[in-house]
This record gives sequence, structure tokens and C-alpha cells, in this order.
Amino acid sequence: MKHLLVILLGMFTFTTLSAAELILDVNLENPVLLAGKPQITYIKVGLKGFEWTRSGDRAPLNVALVLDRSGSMEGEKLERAKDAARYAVGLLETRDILSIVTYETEVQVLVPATKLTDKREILRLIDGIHTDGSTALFAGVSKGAAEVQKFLRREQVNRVILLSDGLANVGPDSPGELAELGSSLRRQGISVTTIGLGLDFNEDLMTRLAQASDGNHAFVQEPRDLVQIFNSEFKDALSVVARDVEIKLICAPGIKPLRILNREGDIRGQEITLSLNQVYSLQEKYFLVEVEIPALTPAALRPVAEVQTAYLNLQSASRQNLSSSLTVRGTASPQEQTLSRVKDVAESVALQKNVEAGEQAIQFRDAGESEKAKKVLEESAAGLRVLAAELASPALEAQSTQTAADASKLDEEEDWQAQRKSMRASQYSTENQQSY
Amino acid sequence: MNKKLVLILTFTILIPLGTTFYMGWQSMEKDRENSLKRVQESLGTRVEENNTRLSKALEMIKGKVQDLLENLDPSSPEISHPLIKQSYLSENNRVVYPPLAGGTLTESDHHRRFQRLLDQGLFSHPPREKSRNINGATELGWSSSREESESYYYWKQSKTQLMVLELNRSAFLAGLVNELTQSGSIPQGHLLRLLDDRKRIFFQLGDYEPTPGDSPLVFKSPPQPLESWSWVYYVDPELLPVLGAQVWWLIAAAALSLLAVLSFLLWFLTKEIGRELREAGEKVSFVNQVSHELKTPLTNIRLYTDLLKSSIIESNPKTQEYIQVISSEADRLSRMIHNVLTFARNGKKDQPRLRITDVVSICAEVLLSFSPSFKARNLELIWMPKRIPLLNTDPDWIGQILGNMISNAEKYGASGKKIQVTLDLEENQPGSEQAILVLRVRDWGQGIPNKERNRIFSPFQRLTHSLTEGSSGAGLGLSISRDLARKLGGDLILEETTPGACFSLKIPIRLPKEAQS
Repeated sequence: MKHLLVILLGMFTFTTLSAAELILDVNLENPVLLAGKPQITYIKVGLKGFEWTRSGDRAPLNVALVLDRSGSMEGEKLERAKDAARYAVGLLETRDILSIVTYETEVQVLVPATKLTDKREILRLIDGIHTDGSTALFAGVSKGAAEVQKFLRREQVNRVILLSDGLANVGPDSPGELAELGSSLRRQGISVTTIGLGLDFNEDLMTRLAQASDGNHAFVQEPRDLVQIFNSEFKDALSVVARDVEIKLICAPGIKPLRILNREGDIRGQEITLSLNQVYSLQEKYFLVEVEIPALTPAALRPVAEVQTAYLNLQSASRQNLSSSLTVRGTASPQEQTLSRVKDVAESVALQKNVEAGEQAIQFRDAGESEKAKKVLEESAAGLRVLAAELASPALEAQSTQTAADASKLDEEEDWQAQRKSMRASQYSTENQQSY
Repeated sequence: MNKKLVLILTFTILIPLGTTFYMGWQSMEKDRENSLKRVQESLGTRVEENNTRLSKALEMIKGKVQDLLENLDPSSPEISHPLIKQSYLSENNRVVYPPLAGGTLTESDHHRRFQRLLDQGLFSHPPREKSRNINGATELGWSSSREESESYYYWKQSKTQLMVLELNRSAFLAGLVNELTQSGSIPQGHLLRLLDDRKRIFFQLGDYEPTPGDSPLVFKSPPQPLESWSWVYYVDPELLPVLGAQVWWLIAAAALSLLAVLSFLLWFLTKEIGRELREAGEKVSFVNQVSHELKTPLTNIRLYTDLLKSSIIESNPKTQEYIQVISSEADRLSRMIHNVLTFARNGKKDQPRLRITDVVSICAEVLLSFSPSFKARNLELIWMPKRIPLLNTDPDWIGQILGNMISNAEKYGASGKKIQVTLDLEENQPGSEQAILVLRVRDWGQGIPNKERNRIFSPFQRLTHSLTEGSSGAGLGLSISRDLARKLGGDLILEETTPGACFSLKIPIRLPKEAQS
């Protein structure tokens, strides 16, 4: 259990330095594996944010609200969106930077990026927002990002919050193009949180934009829930403790990395690199790597991987590193393998595989193959239920129930739009360990 | 007369109207073209403004990418930049970076793709715009490839080495759109669009929704590497100086004027005809009244003329002749008055008063009364009566008709020097009760022209003939005579004769039995 020692050592270092650090947690699903033949197992790499030592302490926010004011927002949607914007203005302090961009066919910078010294003027401008025209979503996001870029600093939380209720119909409109924009923004340290309102937005586009830029995504069916979602989003944004997180996982010789389950990263030979835009206070962000381990000898330890992370600590405003390593031991007893299973990792693997099943089900359902979609979900729900019993896991039990419910509702044509959006949102939240 | 008037009116009004309309149309068309040109020019300026903005954004991006390219180390060309998707390096047309094996999966994909682009010669034929550095050894330029979506590359070519940066397409487009969205708004009803290589709307100003029939007013290609894109400008046709509205006004005005002209003509003609009818009516009613007034003195004149004739038995022949003229003129006047009164009575139920009549003696009496005027005009009267039994008819009407016929012949046929009057009885079959009384009056005068034949029986019709000048009469005679003949069951017809004219009165009669036997 060398890896545990490393972690303990890490914790010891943390206490002596008396400065808050992220917690790097690296585990194998099965630290003890049946010897004699190659085995497939999973590595979980988790990073957990610390708590701000002084309460009320936090990194300043540089946020752009990008609001859809196309014709379809008319009425309650726009009114609630304005409420949410007012709420955000109330939440921010003078050190934060806010810009508001509205878009329809054209894009308007309603409030250019500014410190919140005159809230009254901003509120007055919000009151004047009205609906008009088409949906130039690409231009809206671009403009919001441009406002954030004006005061782009590494030690603050740079974020675009996009609210849209419709399909982009002016400018690039494919999920791929928006994902590419998102990945470019992520490289600049800007995350895009996408909030889809109602039933007419393109959830694939919204989730991929959020994913590529490491932002959050939410599906808000009822306009009245908007303020609540803004509250969660700002709570998240205000609790960022680390930024620009680079994680490198180097597999030991002979260990073969097969794929990353729930995030996008690069696999280059034995090396996996992956980046996160931010880590939130007291929340764990993780990714799973599927690896093939060659035939082991009973009772012999074998190194599996080393993990190195570098990040910007927003409390100390300095760049810090963490590292950890992982070994596996061979055994002749299948029971020992089962007993050694790490519950937390097994749960994560099961949840991510359930997400994959859900994504597959959506594909089938989109292609009109409802029966196949249903079968995929039902099988996944059944698998989860068995595992939930084995691991005594309420989380898996709950997910199993949810997946079974999704499967049973799959045929209802009129609810499909809502269900698809809610499935996508839930998949997104699971993959990215979103807090809401 | 009136036809001519109508024609003249039509031409004098319609031709100037048509000319005005045509000229108005022409000048409107010209106006429209001019203002369309002005609109196009001003739109062109607006497109130019935005295109300049776009060029500026492209220059900015080019500057950044060029810096990155210049600082790229050929020995490790890996690059991580928000604006760049991938860097490539080739030597002698072989891909050096990214590696095919040993790298990530995406890297080997990029390797293959870059080799494909090299083989296609995407970078070997430098595009139109190229810049050279001082020693001329290297070249820089844009390229774009079209696979599922257009990709953009900026490259640097030296002798054997080609370094290429593929732009992160979305970051590149975001840079462009951010610059473009700084443009001011455009007027209501206008629409400016930048269409990408697949004709999708990339950027739009204005909210006019073009209908499928609308065609863009300005069409222009942006600079490299967006040469496959296009600027289009739409304007709501309702805002354009279109022929439409004005032409409708013009057409409406023309239609209104036409209507006005036609109504005027109609009104004019109605008024003319009305006036003529009214005048004729007044004429008749006036003559009617006058005639009544004249009747009494005329009767006295005739009475005393007769008395005078019988009392002056022996006087000189001149006196006898004078009295004869007075008597015959009084008879003529009496006939005229009679005609007028008959005409005025016409329409009222005027029925013949049938009596047993000796038609021959009635005719002889009438002819006798004409003899003085015949003598005066030096006309020879040939009277050829057949033996006619007593008939049941109206003697006054027969006399009136014959009087009119003779008077007519005397007036218009005097140049023929003779007038022949025949009285005949045409039996359909011998022994039948039915027969037709035919009274013919023929002259050898000028005759009646063909085209006038139908009109002579109309009231107040007097042939506008040189010969009639100097003749008196109201033009009533033939008309009244025919009416009377028809009321008697017969007719008065004009027969074909040359020379001169021949009028026949034909009345069917029933022969009395005693006359037959």
C-alpha cells in the first residue's frame, strides 16, 4: 500500500506548511488482482478542493452573462432571466468584474466588463432588456468571452454564463463548432457555463460547449427555477480554490492505458495528460482510466502509475505540485480480489459506465430504435442494482432507480424532448462531478 | 355630326393624355433607376465598411499567427495556443510533425491529414496574396481547405521546409465575429449578411426577413482566406424606390381621366340629343298652337275668297287670276295647318271616320285645287283614274294623303315638268271580294337618292338638297301621310322609278257586293 503512504506523506507536508492544498487521491478499483492472466481494471484520479481558511475569502470573479433575448424569450422567460441577472448583480462585490452581453440576430454589449462599483446603473440597464429577432448564439458567446478577456487574469475565476432557450440560427451552430470554441476558451482559462431554458434549445450543443470549456451545464425547464440555478452557479464560481490544473498520469512499463472514461485527455504512449480549468472548494473532480495489467505473480507488488499535478492555488496565489503513485499486488485467491475492491472507485466506474449506457440509449432513441435504447438502459439499471447490493451503496441504488425510470419513459413521445434534456444534464453532471 | 364630334373629342383628349402618361412613366422609371443607384451606392458603402472591419480582424489574427509561426522551433514544433488547433512541419513534401507513430491517436490522424493536404498541393501553389521577407527566401500565406467544414491555415515556406499552423476554426471565427459586432446598426427593413462557404449565415445585421423572391442588392467577396464567403445586402422592396406604387398612382390617374372624358362625352351627347328632342317638341307644340289660332282667320279668308269669286263674275282676267292664286294659296295653307294638327294629334287615339266615298271625285277635287299652282309652275298634270266603285273609307284622309303626295311632287319634282296621277284597283283574283286601291303620284324630277329613301318618312326630314331650297314646308307631309295610310290598313311606299319619284298609296279594300254585280 505504497500509495497510501504517499498520500499520508502528502498530508503531513500539508500540515507542516500550514497552507491549504488540494487533495490528490489516486486509487485502483482492485489493488489486489488475480494473478496468472492479464486483467483490466480502472484507475481513479481525484482532486479535492480545500476550504478557504478565512470565511468570506474567495477569488475575485470575472464573469460575463450572455443572455438570449431572441423572440422566443418573450414573456416570463425573459422576466425570470432578468431576475436572475439582478440576483447575480446583488451577489457580486466591488472587486468582481461583470459584463452583460445580450444577443438576438445581433449582439449587444449591454454592460462592458466593469468592476461592480455602480450596481444601480447596471440594474437600470437590465430593466431595459427586451426581446427581438433570431439567435446568434456563437456571436453571443464570442462577445461574452471577449468581455472576459479584457480583464483576464489567472488568479481570478473567469467565466461566461450563457443562457439560451433556442436553437442557434445565425453563425456557427453545430455542437462540434461550439465545442471547438469551448476548448479554445479553456486554454485561455475561461469556462462557459451553459443554461438551457425550456424545451427548444440544443442540449448536445450546450453540453459540449460546457464540457470543452470545463464549465457547468443546467437544464431549466421552468423559468421560475432560473434564480435557483443562478444561485448554485454563482456559489460554485465563488468557491473556486484552484485553477489551471494540469494532471499527468504516467503508466509504468508493461501497463497499458486503454481509455479515459469520463473526460477528454490525451493519451501519448504511456502518458496521459488532462487539464481542468478549476477545482471548487470541498468538491472532488476525478477521471477514470481503463488500464490493462499484464499477468501478475501471486504476492508480488508491481508499480502501476505515477500521477503528477500542477495547479494555481488561488489562496496562496502560487503554483503548486502534487504527486502520487500506485501499485498492484497479485493474488491466487479470487475472494481476495473481491474483498480488496475499493468501494468509492467501483461506484464511480459503475456511474460512468451508466452514463455511457445512457449516451448510447440516446443515440438509439434518436435513430428511432426505441427498443434497443430501452434494453440498454434496463440492462444498465439491473447491473447497477446488483452492484449496489454488493457494495451496499445507496448512491448506486438511487441511480439504478433513475435509469430504470428513464427506460420506462422512453416511449412517451411528447415528453422525450424534456427527458432527453434532463438525461443529458444528468449525464453531464455525473461525468464532471458538477455540484448541482 | 355627333360621331365626328366624339372622334375629335376622343383624339384631342386621349392622345395628349396617353402622351403624358407615357412621358410620366419614362421619367418615373428614370427616377427610380437613379435612386436605386443611389441606394446601391450607399449600401455598397455600408458593405465596404463591414468588409473593412473584417479585413482588419483578419490582419490582427494574421499578425498574431505570423508571430507564433516565426517563433516556432522546427526541432519541436508542438504548440499550445487558444488560436491554434495544430501545427505541422514538412520537409521536401514529407510530413515530419506530427508523428505518425509514438504520438497520440489524434496526432497520427493529423499526420495523415497533413500528408493528404500536401499531396493535394494546398501549400505548393501559393495563393494570390503572398508576402515575401527581405531576402525573398521565405514565403508566407493563407490557405483554406474544405472538408466537412472549411479549415484555415497560415504557413511559412522556405527552401525545403514548410511550417503550417492550422487555426482553431471557432476561435478564428469568434475573433472575426467580435470585430464585426462592433458595427453600428443598419436602417429598419435592411439586412446585411455574411454567408460562409456553405452559404450559412455567419453574421447578420438588421432584422428584415427576405422572401424567397428577393435578390440581394450587393454581392461581394471578403478578403483571403474567406474568398469563398460572400456579403449580401437585402432591402425590403417596400422601402425601395420601386416603380410599383407610383405606377399604380399613374395608372389610377389615367383611368380616372379616361373615365372623366367618357362621362363628359356621354353627358354631352345626352344633352345634345335631349336638346334636339326638346326643341322638336317645342316646335310641334308651338306650331300646333299657332295653327289653331290660324285656322279661324284662314277659314274666313277661304270663305270670302269663294264669295269674291262668285260675286265678281265679270271683271278683267287679271282680277280672276289673282283671286285664283289667293284661293289656291289659302288651300295650301289650310293643308299645312291640317297636317300640323294631325301630327300633333298623333299618338292620341285618332281613328278614321269611315263613310261611303267616291274616291275618284275626292281625288279630282284635290287635283282641281292644285291646278292654279300647277299652272303657275308650268306643270302638266296627267290624271288617269279608273272606274272605282264606292268604297267605305275616310274621304278626308284620302284627300289629305293625296294632297301631300301632290304637294311633295310639286315641290321636289317640278323640274320634270309633268306629274302623273293614276288611280287603280288591283284585284288579287278576279271575282274576289278583296282588292287593293292604288293611288300613284309620279314625277320626273330629280328623284330621291338611295341613302335618303329610308329617312324621307321621318318627321321634319327634308332632304338637304339644293333643289329644296326655297321650298317651304315643315317636313311633315310624307310622315303624316304614311301614318294615315297605315291607320287605314294600307301603306304609303316609294316605288323604284327612274327618272323622278313615284309614291304609291295602297289600301286593301273590300268590294261592295252590289258593285260586283
